Amino acid sequence: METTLQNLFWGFSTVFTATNLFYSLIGCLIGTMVGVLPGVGPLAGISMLLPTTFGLNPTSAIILLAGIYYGAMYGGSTTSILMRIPGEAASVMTCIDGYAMAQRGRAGPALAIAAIGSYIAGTLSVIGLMFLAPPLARFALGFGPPEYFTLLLCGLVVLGYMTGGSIIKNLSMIVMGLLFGMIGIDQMTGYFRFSYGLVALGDGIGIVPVAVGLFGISEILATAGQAKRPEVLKPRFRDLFPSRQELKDSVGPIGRGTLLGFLIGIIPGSAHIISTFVSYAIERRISKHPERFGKGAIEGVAGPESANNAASEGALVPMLALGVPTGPIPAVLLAALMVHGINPGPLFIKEQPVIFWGLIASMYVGNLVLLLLNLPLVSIFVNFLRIPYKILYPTILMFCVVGVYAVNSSLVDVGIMSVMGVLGYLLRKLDFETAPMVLGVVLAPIIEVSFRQALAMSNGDYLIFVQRPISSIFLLGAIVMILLAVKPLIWKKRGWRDRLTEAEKNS
Amino acid sequence: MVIDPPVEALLDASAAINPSTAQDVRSSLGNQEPICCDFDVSSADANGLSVPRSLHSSRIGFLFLEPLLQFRQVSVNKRFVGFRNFLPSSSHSEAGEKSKMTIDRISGGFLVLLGLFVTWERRVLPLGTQGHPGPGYFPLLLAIFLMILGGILVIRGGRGESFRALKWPEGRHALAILGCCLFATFAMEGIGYRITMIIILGFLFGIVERLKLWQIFTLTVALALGTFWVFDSFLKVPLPRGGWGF
Repeated sequence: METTLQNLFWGFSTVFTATNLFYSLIGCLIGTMVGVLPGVGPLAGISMLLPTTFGLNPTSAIILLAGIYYGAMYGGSTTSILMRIPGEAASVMTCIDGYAMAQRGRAGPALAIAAIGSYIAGTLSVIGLMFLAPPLARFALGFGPPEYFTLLLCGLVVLGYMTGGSIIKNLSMIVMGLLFGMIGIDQMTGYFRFSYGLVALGDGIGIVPVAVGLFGISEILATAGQAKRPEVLKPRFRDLFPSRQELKDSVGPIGRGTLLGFLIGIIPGSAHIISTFVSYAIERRISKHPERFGKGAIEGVAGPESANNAASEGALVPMLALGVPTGPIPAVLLAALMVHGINPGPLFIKEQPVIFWGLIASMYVGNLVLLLLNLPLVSIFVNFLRIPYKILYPTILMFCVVGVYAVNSSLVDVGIMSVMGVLGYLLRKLDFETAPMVLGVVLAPIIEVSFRQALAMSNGDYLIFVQRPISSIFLLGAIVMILLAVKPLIWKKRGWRDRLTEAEKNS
Repeated sequence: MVIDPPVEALLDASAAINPSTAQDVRSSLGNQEPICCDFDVSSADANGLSVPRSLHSSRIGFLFLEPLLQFRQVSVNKRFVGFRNFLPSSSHSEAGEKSKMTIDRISGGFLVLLGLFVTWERRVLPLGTQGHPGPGYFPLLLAIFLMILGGILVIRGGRGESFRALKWPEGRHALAILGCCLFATFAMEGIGYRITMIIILGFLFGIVERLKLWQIFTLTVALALGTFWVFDSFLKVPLPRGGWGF
């Protein structure tokens, strides 16, 4: 405890420099814009802006990118409340009561409660992250290749299960991602695999062109030429203050949403989306007036928004402690660390304390910045929604091209982005989720090396994955998930996965 | 609540025989959520389980119809699907009857082909041994797994959305954007970032979106030159300058 607090003070001393505070502020502002703008999700936003951090030191770079991440989560609620259009999938539940409040002339308090809830959830989750990540990393130091392989296998199966839609399709996306990750030089033997003589493919296909292609370009391809957007409500600053009753009604949902969000956020998959569903369902279940839900209940905004932000920070726990991303956004953050020469994994916290504790401290600062800036500036952010899409999408396309090119100064990457864009567009048409593919690409080298090393350790005996206790637990977890996935084939019941799929499709 | 036509037909038939029971069943069905019919005459016929026409009109027939209707009621309440989902469902699916080329089957077929392609391309990579797997070992495992998943999609995909029903309203825009991406890929190093972007943005704003001339000019020049300044000059991220240094 004492060491943790000491480290946190050290982190604050890192953040409280003019430069890092500036980058935290810029990250939060850009993130909010990314969250507000349709067609630019947090993943594409972070990927496109990754090259802008190349000139920065690793601490400032990760502070900036993390700011974009939680800023985007924050910004998504604005469009949900004012336009009934979720900025990203996790804001779907906020649409229901947030927009109903806006129609009753209470858009300001809905935005304020969303911001306050997000701030409290974000700050409390950072405390959880701070206390949970270091011991988890120490525990993971005892992992060998079999444990790592089964951990990743379990994580990928959980991801396939927790992502909405068909699990068969999700698993095939993971396998396809792993196959894309096989392109390039084999780390253990030096063989060129599936490169077709292109030297630029020697290092494999990067996460940035894949993520920008699958999430940025495919979004533009699918949405360009759409009809005019609906009118946007514009709240005034003086209308933002919630009443005493609204504040009182929000306390419980914020607390429950935070706890739920953080715990669910650690699980791989669409954790931040699931957490909002669970939070909304719980609030409605325990409410004395459930009939108010759907007609503008403040609890329906406070709970899901808190859960969403807590989950997005909970998702950083496995990434920072184990070097294992649980979703595409932590995967891109992981790639960003690697671009800056940092190897994530159980030794990350021990070897890079400045970056880890700087990031933790920056989250406290960032959450405060978001609260202080977002509320007064909400009417300015709303103006971004007035940009016609026919002007917006060519601009986004330009940022995609420049962002991808700048990573390696390679036009092959721009080509990969284009191919991935078309692939992502077609996959969306065919009802596939593309997020598991991104994670497959990122995890492919680690999972393959762990697998081959484990087999080398056991002289080809596959039982090594069962004989080692930790490894067998992860394997059991994967089997349980597969059995749970098979269950709906026998008992047809509309469960949370169906609702999740629907929400992701509608967002 | 809309009751499925085949069930409606059964109810009409049973009403002629035992109006009160039929009414009870109708009202109890009317209280359920609408779902597809689990067992109907047409599917029974398609599966080779012919339902005699006499069942619809004879008093004896209602002895068979009543448990059938009750089964329907139970199946609606518990939503028991049994192992039907493991089987190809084209036999009892309307969509499947119209077109068996569902999006699931097409995508499953594509995954199988991709798996076969990887297996073929992997032949130049050594497999190694089980104790020392070579560079081709893991890709082969993945390709086999992909083919299995694709196969499941092909087999189970009969009930999915028809491929022909897919709409492509954004197709024209999508082709234009894709063309711009390819143009950037092949032209940017030859003619430089700024000229490439002026051409791409000019094309999208002017020809695809038909903005006003002053808007096209202002947006194109400001965005192309502005991003070059931010990335290349300010952030020191080198962008291509092209043959003549611009």
